[in-house]
Amino acid sequence: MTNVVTLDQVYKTYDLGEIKVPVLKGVDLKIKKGEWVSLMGPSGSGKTTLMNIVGLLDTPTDGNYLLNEEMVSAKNDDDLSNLRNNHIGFVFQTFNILPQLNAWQNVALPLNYSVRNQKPKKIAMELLDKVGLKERATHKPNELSGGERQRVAVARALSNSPSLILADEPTGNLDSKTGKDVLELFKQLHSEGITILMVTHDTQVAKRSQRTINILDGKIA
Amino acid sequence: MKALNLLREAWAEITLQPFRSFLTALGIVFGVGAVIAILAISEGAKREAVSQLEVLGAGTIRVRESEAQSNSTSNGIGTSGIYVQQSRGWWGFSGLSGSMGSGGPARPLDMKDLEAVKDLQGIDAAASERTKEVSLPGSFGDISVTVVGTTPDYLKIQGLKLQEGRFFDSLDLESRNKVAVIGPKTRGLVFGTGDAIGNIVRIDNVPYTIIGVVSPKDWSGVTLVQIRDTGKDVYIPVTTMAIGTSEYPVGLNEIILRLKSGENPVQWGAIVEKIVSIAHPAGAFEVIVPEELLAQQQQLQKIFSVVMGLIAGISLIVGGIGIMNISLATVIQRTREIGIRRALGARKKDIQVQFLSESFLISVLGGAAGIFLGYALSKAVSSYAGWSTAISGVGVIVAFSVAATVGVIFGWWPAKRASEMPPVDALRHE
Ligand SMILES: Nc1ncnc2c1ncn2[C@@H]1O[C@H](COP(=O)(O)OP(=O)(O)OP(=O)(O)O)[C@@H](O)[C@H]1O
Ligand SMILES: [Mg+2]
Repeated sequence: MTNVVTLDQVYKTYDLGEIKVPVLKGVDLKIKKGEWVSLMGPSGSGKTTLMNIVGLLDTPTDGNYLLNEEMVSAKNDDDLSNLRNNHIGFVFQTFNILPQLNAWQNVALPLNYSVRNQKPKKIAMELLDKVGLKERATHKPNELSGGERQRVAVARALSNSPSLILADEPTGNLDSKTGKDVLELFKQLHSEGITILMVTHDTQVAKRSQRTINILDGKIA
Repeated sequence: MKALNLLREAWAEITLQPFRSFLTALGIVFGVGAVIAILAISEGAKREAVSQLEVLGAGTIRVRESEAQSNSTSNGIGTSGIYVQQSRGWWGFSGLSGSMGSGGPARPLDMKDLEAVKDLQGIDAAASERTKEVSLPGSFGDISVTVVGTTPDYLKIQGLKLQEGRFFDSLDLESRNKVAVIGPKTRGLVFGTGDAIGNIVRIDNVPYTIIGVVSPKDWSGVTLVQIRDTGKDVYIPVTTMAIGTSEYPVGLNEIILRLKSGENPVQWGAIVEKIVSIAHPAGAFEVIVPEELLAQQQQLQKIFSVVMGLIAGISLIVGGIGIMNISLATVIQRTREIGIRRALGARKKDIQVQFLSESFLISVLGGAAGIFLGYALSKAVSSYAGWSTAISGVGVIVAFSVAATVGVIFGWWPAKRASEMPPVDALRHE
């Protein structure tokens, strides 16, 4: 089995001029293809920081990161953008779908930045069907419930068929019922062989994944 | 396809807050409006110059009694069109006082002045004009016509053509023949559809034989120099006209000169003025060179264009700054969106192009509105100032490009800033 994510002694220190805030202090992590991993840890422990590095939104201060066995440290901004577009799907705690676009347009958004020639609407509609929102395709986000918005966000994360889904507290803003629905969705994705790294505070949620890792004092415990 | 998509998204974004977008574009609207108006006015001026010269005849010089002079005469109604009768009183007087030289009052123009300038090297032809309003019995009552005493070259100089018969020649002039050539309107009013040639018209009870009829000529395009409608003119030899008066030399209202081709009208105008002023030291005449008048008018329009150009430039810069200002605010407001798009794979370039297409579209729409404003503005100017205007396709294209350029230039920096935002910080933005 290939490793989708390989972190080797990754450090992240925020430099605030006078003071330096070390957040990650030598993180080692491997995630295999098809794995569903939960990431837990107290607030401020660096979970989001780690997700941002894995998601190529941020660069580590030190250490190596291999995505799909490929070094990404030396990549330039455009290459990183393309890698995000092709390999990573984000699901955020606060949904982060664009208010001015309707459901299918939000789902199709990553395809705008893809070099692959696709049929955005068709793909978006299929994915909305998959997350059970086919009837809501032309609804704007403010016409959708929190759970529906998050499902739109999940569909969007899938639109470029990524090799890794990064979900930072995807159920954090949802009540337990709708949270469960979204988790069902993740379960389904996992069963289809999609690799998932998910941050959560909820051990019940973490239990559903294959493996739970804890971050403590800047390291994987 | 990609560009169309960008514009569609930009359109969606702009129409999300239409009033704000309208305010953003306002500076561009005024700037482009001014640009269009300038171009319309200068284009109109150019066309008018061409058509005026066409009608007036390029390369003519007119020496006429000055308006100030005719104002100073008896009853003070002194516009060029009706200065005839007053002037007649003058001639008698000046005939006596002419020899008093520079100490005396101004004399009117006369045939001697014509003689003095007609053989100048640059002059091709010369004609006199001595006018008098008379009434003729027409088929529907009396009609008032202008009797013009002139010389054989008149036809050629005024660019008139004959539709019947002939014009009088130098023999008629020397022999003081009682012959007349009439305008098309007079012909219609006096003779209807019957024969005119060979018939008699009575002017001040003197019978004149009609030998020709002039074709109609449209003077309506001429605004620089006052010219009466020649349709009702009756032309007779100027020598014949002076029969019965004690005038010598025969007084004139106007001398019209035609230059040889290639001669400079302004230069010859000055020479003619100098020569005529020898006999008329007290002035009382003016030399009109259409080219010179046109140049003056164009100078005025040029000044206007410069002022409007400044307004246009300032408006466009202010409009551009407005766009930049709003764009910067928009970029800050939409920081989160930028972060999201970056996370989904947008490159810096994609973000920059997105914001740039919004400012581009706002400017171009403002430009389109500005073209309408400019159109209205130039219509207003032409009706208010009496200048003719013409909106040219080139003008519209220029204005459009100016608007688009302003949008791109002033939208550049905000868009660049948007694209340079680190994705993580943008996503963290509340
Ligand atoms: N841009 C930044 N500049 C300075 N410090 C930062 C920055 N981003 C994060 N930090 C700090 O890094 C630490 C880890 O933050 P992070 O957001 O990764 O925590 P977290 O584990 O996701 O917490 P939570 O569970 O509350 O979301 C925090 O102490 C935070 O203050
Ligand atoms: Mg966090």
